[in-house]
Amino acid sequence: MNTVTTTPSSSAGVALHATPPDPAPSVTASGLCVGHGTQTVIDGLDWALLPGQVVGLLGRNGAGKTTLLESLLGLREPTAGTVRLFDQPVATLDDALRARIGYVPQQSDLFEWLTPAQMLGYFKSFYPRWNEAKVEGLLSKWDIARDKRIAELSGGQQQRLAIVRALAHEPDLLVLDEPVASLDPAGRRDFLRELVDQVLNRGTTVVFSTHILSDLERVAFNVAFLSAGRIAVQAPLDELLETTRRLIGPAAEVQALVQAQRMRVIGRAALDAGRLQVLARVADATTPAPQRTAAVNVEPVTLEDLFMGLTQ
Amino acid sequence: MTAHAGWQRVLLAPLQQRRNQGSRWFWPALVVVALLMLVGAALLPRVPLAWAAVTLLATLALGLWIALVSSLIVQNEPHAARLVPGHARALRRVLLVAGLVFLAVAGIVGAAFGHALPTLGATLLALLVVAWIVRMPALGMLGWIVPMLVSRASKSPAFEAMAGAASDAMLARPGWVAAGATAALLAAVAWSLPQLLQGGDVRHQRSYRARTRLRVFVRHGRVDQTRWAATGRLGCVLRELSTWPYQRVLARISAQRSGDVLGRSLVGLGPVFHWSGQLGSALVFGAIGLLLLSVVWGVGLLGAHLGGASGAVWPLSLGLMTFVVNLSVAARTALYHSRREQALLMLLPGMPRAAALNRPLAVRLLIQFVVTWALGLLACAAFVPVQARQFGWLVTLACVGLPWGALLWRDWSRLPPPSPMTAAAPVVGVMLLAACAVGLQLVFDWPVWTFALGFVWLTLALLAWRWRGVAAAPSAFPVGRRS
Repeated sequence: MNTVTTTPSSSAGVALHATPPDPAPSVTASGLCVGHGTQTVIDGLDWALLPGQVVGLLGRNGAGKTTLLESLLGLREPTAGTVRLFDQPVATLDDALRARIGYVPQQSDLFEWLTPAQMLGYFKSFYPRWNEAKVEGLLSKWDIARDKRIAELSGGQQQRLAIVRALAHEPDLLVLDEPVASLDPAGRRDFLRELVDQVLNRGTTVVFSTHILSDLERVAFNVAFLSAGRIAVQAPLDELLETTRRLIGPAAEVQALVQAQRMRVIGRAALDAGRLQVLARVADATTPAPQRTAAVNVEPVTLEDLFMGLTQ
Repeated sequence: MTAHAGWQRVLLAPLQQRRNQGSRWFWPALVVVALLMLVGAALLPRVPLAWAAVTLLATLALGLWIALVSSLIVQNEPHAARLVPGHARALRRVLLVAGLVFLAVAGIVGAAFGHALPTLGATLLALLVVAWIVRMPALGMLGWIVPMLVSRASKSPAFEAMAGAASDAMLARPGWVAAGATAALLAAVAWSLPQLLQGGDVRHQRSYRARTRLRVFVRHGRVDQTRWAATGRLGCVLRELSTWPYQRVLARISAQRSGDVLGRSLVGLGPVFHWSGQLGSALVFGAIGLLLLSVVWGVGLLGAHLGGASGAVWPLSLGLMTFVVNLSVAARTALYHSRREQALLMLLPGMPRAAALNRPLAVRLLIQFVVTWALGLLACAAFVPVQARQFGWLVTLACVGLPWGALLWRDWSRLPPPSPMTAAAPVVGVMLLAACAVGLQLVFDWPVWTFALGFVWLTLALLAWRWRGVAAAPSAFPVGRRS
């Protein structure tokens, strides 16, 4: 099993590091297996997230993104394997470490019997650190009524409130499960800006699942593709787009070209009439991508192509 | 899809719904109840075996009818009714045919007892009432007031004169009157039954949503928080009053920065779960109940019943038993529905895990259960005259519910989602246990307190057995994650 780790990309669209990276990973999953009943959802997954890294977790519906994120936080017991957060076993996190974790679950209609002010006041009482100025600023900026019941807020406002709650204690690890699903484009832009600020200011490790690929492209995060219970590929997005090509042609010619260029196949689909389509990466970023031949069409890929190819 | 296939699917839906929603016990339970009716009828003196068989048939028909109609109402989803060609029509036809079959069974049952026409008439009347209560649930609220008024009014000279005139008319021309009334009822039922199934307009959407909310409330004890505004000023005032103790507790613990983390975190599970919310609801709705009762009592409607009170002990006991059992069901459903909040609470600094969470939680749940049980018992005892035997039965029947408190000591991580049987099964169980106790007492004439003590010992034994399991189980929160 290969542990997938990447260092943050210096060529990313936004510089995401204010502090030098700590060598110890913020999150480490080793041989992680998690299931629902008899069904295995996460199957021997190895993963490590470094401090200050921002990772967009991509996967098809039902691929197990939520299960993986919940398992990383110790909210689901694995059937095998281990998870460590900041080098502590997730099952026995101490209080100081828990205060460093922020989580936005998929459903944001939580604590709907409270008002935002009550909910935030309630959570504030548990944390040793609470950035009241940031809370007030975000509530005002995002136009969230403080004294209206959460049940009566719109889906987007509930989601923004959940993000405010998760950011308020200034976590070092932020886990967000589809945090922008209910947000309009303006809301998503505000959220991403806040996320980038958080990373720039504090070097927070962020992992979030999403289906909105354009958001990932805008901020040039690292992306991780979850498929068949494992991380199929993880890399900085721009590097991935730069080094990956789609090769389409007769199967034998495509395979020959892949071998000749010493490319690594990361996705494969059989087409009609003995033709083959592969997604393949060159050995490293310095190696030039192969050129189109008479038989094989070589094309650059988009994030959507990668998503379709890597999450089958 | 042919019409035949459409009918088949509509008829199969009740089976599929019950299987998919996890209530697999409905059909076996129906068969058991029908067999119990058969045995009961067969054991009665001077009852021919044919009558017992007819009882079996009637019970099965009633069960099937209830299952089918409730399924048809669920299937009558507004968008499907509006957009799927022939959907609402197929449902209406099935409903009408099922109604005719049910009436035919009622007629056979009536004929077996020699009263075909009155049985048919009574069945039609029952169908009519049920159809309109289902169509307009608010009418159901009047269901307990009308019989009471009729019962009270039946003692008045005017009502007696009216009933006498009706009786004379029936005696003078019994056939004509009975046939006419039955025909009128048949026409009313034939018109009313299809009204249960609507065509997808705005009123249908509204009533479907209301029924769904009601079903969720009955099944899961869950109130839709977004609906409070629709209850108007009075509803909002009642909500504010009933949640006032909870709000006080919330404000107090929000001001604290230290202290018992588990206790503080349980406030985050909401007023439905927390003792302060339950206390507020009990005080407000208890006060409303008392007010209504005193008004009804004041105008003399209940005077005859509660003044003598000897007959009140059984309904009160029945209510108390159901209440006690529902306490454990309500705690379970409240925990299940707050499982997403629990996920966040588990990440709070200081939140205990595993046995350190499970044991204090178990103790708190049990204390809440026992205190509520004791308060319910005291409230009921206030309505019962001080007669040792009746009070003894009240306490004993209240104790029948105590073993269900042991259900609160369980591996919460494996809690399955609530199903229609979640609330129904314990109530049936407690009724059977109570029936056994009453039967044993009648046969052996043991002192009534023996049974109360027996149930207390049973509860203690169950708790002792489950205590170890509670400690060994994984963290209780978020509940149901391993189901």
